[in-house]
Amino acid sequence: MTRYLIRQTLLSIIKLFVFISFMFFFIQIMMPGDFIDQYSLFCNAECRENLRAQLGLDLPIWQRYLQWLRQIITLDLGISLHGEPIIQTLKLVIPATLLVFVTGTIIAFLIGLWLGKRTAWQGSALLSRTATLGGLTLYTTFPPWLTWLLTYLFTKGAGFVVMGEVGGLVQLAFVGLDRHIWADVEIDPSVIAFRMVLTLAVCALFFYLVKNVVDEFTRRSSPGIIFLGLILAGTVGSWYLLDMQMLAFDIMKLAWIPLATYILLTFGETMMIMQSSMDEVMKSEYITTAKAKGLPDSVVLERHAARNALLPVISRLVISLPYLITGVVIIESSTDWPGMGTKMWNALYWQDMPLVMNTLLIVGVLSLVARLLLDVVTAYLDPRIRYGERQTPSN
Amino acid sequence: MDPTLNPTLKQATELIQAGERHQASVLLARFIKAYPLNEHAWHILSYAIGDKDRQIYVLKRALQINPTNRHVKARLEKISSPAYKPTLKREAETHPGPIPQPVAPKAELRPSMQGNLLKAATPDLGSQSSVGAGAVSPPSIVPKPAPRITTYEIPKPAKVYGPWQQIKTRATISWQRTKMNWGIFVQSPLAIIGLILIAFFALLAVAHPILMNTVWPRGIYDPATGFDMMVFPHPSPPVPGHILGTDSLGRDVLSMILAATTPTFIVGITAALTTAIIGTILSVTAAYFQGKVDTIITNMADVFLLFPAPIIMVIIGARFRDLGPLQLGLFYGLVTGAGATTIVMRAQAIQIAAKPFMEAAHIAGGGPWHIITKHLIPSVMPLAALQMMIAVTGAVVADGFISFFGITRTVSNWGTIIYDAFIYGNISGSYGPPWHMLIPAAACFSLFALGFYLVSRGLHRVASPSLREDY
Repeated sequence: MTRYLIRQTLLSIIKLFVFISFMFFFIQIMMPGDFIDQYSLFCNAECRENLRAQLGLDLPIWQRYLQWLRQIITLDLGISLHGEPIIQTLKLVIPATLLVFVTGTIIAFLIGLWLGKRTAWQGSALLSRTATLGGLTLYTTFPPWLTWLLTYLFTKGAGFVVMGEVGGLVQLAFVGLDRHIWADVEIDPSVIAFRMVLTLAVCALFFYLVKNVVDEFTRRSSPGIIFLGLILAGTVGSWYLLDMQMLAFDIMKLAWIPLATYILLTFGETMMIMQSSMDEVMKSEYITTAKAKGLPDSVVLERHAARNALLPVISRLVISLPYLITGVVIIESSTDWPGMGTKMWNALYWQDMPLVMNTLLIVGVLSLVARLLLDVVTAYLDPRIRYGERQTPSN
Repeated sequence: MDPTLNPTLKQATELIQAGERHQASVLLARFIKAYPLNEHAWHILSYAIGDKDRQIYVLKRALQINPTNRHVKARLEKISSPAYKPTLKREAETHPGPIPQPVAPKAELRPSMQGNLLKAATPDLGSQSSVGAGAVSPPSIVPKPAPRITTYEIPKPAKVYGPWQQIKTRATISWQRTKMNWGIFVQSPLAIIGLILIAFFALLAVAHPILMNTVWPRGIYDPATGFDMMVFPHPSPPVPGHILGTDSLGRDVLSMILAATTPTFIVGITAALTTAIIGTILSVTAAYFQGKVDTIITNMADVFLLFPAPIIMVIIGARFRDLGPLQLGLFYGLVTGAGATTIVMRAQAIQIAAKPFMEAAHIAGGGPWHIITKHLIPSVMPLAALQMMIAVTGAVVADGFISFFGITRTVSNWGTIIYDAFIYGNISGSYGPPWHMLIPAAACFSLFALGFYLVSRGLHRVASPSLREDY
């Protein structure tokens, strides 16, 4: 397993390198104009040349590439063309993205799993058909439209930004926070957002372990809804412990629209995969055996069917992970959520290439790390998978 | 299964004795395809082939199945010795004797074990009949002890079946298979809903040019430049003559929506075909050659997976302003085909490549081209169809996304209509949002993608044999 992980990590780095190099040349060659052209309305040709020379944009592209490579190898992300250190920018931006998309992915995954399980178990009942159709319709909805609809229905259109109308030019901020609450707070909202993600992750992990222990001990699976409630209570409780409850609730007031959009858009896919995977599992003989043994339905569903059906879902999640990251751009920009997607989109619009490339780099690193994690989870869930051993051809 | 009583094996033996080694090897390969765990078939096969390495391999297979068979052991030792020089002709002349009159070996497998082996072999029969699209029909094997037959007619396919008859047989087989698959497809009502949705949109696409040429005057109803003087103000809610009202430039919304159907179809179908072709080629190559080729293709697919297709399409759209639906579909298909589709299809193709009938095809002398086109591609075809449908959904959303910025030159698109409503439709004004533009466009979007998705679910049932009732 360790050998496999080391090998995969090395491979991931190579893949990341290929990806990022391709994107570097692709974007710079494909995009018409450059950064200077965006700001040079009142500037003659000589002035433009001067500006280009100042920013190093007059160098040939391969020299810029090598410079940039040297920078990222020394783990220095450099300065964006707007003059802000990129690492600072990303520090401000990443927590907001994590808050929406890690939470959203987990919740959408759970909803999708639960619905998929139920609908597959009940077969062709009217209710399960409706759920399937509803989930799939939401899955195929046009994202900006859903965002707008939610914003319109619940806030009467305040805070909705049409994509393409670039919002915050240099500095993104959480627009719409309550000034009274934040007046004498020195901490940046993004730090609070990061703490929120962290508390949520810790609580989720802790209660998941507790659930596992309890399940082992009582030898039956306890209802998940209680544990979800516990996780929620634990997270909110820890906000109170850290004395940031007001700030956190204020952020949540803004965060729930992108969160809800994201969940509504993505749970359908998980549901669909879970359904088809359950369909296959339920045809197998050990389910019949389990039923024939006289086990109650819930045990057969939870312990025998759902667990085995989980694997294809997870391996499919691996594949759709990068698409989730594309979704970040669309959803974040439509709600003016100050995350990585909006930042990258704005930077692309202004052709601030160092910022675009480094954001893409972070995105690539995050998705590859998530992939490795999922590999580990798969190996943990499926005892048949043993990474690192050479598979002998089945003679 | 007693080899002395099995007509196929007997026939193969007679063919070898008559010197018709090639025919015998084909016959045996078919037999092994159906019953991969029959040791006698592997044993006899070693007489039908001339190559020393292959002979050793085949005999080892036979020994794996039954390590106690001393005929096989003896022959293996003889062949493995360096003195043994196989040449096809000489062997045929000098070894007429030892060609086995297949006798039931004395150290027979225990009956229970044999039962297991037979049981293990049966699923392969099923997959073979569902998979080899019109390639071969299973050999007529009589497993029960039948009255001893001494003479067998050796079929001479070239004479018995003319090309016309072959085509006819294949057509019949594929027609029956289509009928069977259709029956499975129809079982799920959601798939039917999907088909109806697609048919509905096809109708819309056809309706637009007809309406433009008959009922609608071009000046008023043109999707790009139309304007109605009699309606004021624009955008107007539904009025007689404009069932869905007009947009802020005075164009008829229904006409715009109908006109957008054809480009959307083109994008979707181009993307689907490109995805399927690229995905199939890459995955099948990886599965056939394995080893280094497989590693390279898998890792390349991983890299492609990272590419954010909509963003790349936006960039390309900004560069080549005249991108039509065809190019966009092609591009989307390229990125997803080399990425996600390849990963999904390769997993399936690798499983198929490990099945016994592939080995049988190898041993019967099939080259890479034959095996890939006749065995691998037909087996991954249903999965490719499934991926096609999924690609349609993705491509349509991505297309709507980039027309949402007005980057392409597509005259109108459902995404553009929504964008127009957001920007110019006075969305947060006192009249309220222009629902007559938003809802139809958004609904078309969802339903079009949904139609293809539902069909893909129906196809999934067809593609995965374990979901069928008849297995």
